[in-house]
Amino acid sequence: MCIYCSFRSAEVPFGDLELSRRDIYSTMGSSGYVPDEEMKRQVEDTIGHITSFCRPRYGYSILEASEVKEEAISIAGKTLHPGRAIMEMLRGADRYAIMVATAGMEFEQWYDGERHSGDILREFLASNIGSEIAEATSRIGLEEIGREFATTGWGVGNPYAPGYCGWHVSDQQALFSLLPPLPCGIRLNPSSLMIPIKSISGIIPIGAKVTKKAYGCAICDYPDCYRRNQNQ
Amino acid sequence: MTDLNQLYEAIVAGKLEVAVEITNAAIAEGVDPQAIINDYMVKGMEEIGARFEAGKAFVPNLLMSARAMKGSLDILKPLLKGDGSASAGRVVIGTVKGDLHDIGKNLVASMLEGCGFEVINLGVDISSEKFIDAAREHKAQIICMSALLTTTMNYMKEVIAAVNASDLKGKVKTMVGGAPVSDSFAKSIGADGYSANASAAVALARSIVSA
Repeated sequence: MCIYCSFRSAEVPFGDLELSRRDIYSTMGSSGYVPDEEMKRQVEDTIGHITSFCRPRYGYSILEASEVKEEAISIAGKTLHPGRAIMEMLRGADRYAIMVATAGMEFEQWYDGERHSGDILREFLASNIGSEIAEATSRIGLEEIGREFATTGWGVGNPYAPGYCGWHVSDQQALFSLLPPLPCGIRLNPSSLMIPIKSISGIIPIGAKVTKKAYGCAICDYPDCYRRNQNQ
Repeated sequence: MTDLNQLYEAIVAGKLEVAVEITNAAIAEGVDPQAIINDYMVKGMEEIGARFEAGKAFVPNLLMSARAMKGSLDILKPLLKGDGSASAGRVVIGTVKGDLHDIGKNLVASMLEGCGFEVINLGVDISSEKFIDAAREHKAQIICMSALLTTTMNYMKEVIAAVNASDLKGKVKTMVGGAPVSDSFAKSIGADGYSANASAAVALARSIVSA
């Protein structure tokens, strides 16, 4: 069977994104940061500017696992090595969605200009807003997967990705091998990082026994993770 | 007569336009550029850094101050003697190979520059060879490395090993930072210093250069 044939993708109209201002501001500063009116204005102005060209996209394939081990999972002849903590979340699912979401190459080109503008504040705003665009696009993709399985009564779990919770980023290569070439325009650089930078990938457990569990730090005891540091 | 205390206040408050306006006025009046930097701008950056350390300012405040500082510095730099005598030190900085995250690294670079260091910012995804070549070319005293991912921070160890295996051993110190990096990790890989934030990085760089 062609593993690429189940791939579905969509472009999300920018206006359909629900960009969480709370998440944008929380990633801008440590806890306790309250943006002043000037910062709020700059964030809204930046979002308003992006609206005209940003074309976020998501895509996913629904696949079955052929083998599930303690620290690894094999899907369509490819073996992923998420590690013990993430495998705990993946084990027992009936299907797995391999998903990507991205703020898109149009955003990337603009962001690249901001990064080289020499204005660190503009770069910072663009980075934080871009991350939230990718997250918001991912949320829409997850909702679509949920709708697809709504009649089965199956649950859809959280996405888990290489680069986090001890899952080595080089496993992006194996993950992307389960998707068509350049899914949603995303490519991997030689270090296995996604281009556009503001992109998200992941594997999502789906099944009768799957429930949404606590995300991130609750499943992982990696002491040096930046998410753990951020949440402290 | 321009009140340069207003420049200090503009730097602390992150008011770019005000900082640029006062700087231009001071230059027109013949004020020594180095005195403007040392007595008002660096002090402004030190103040916002201290507020950040005390939890009274946040990353966006640091960024706005750094931007105001840069705006004034761009005016003053061409007027400096250019012999490097007033420099606090020379630093090569980059995000390590395999990692594309650069906001934190750029903030450290801005703070260092704002506090009088000469900064050679190499960008992201930087190999040990690039760090070493740049440090050698620019006669840097410090190599600063940044990483955001737990999976890429281990590359810092390779860079330090490469520095120690080169002619730069003992001449160039290494500093590491980034969200997943800790003091214990820095010690375990043999780094000469670790800082948890951009403000602390300035203090660390100063202590390394003056040691």
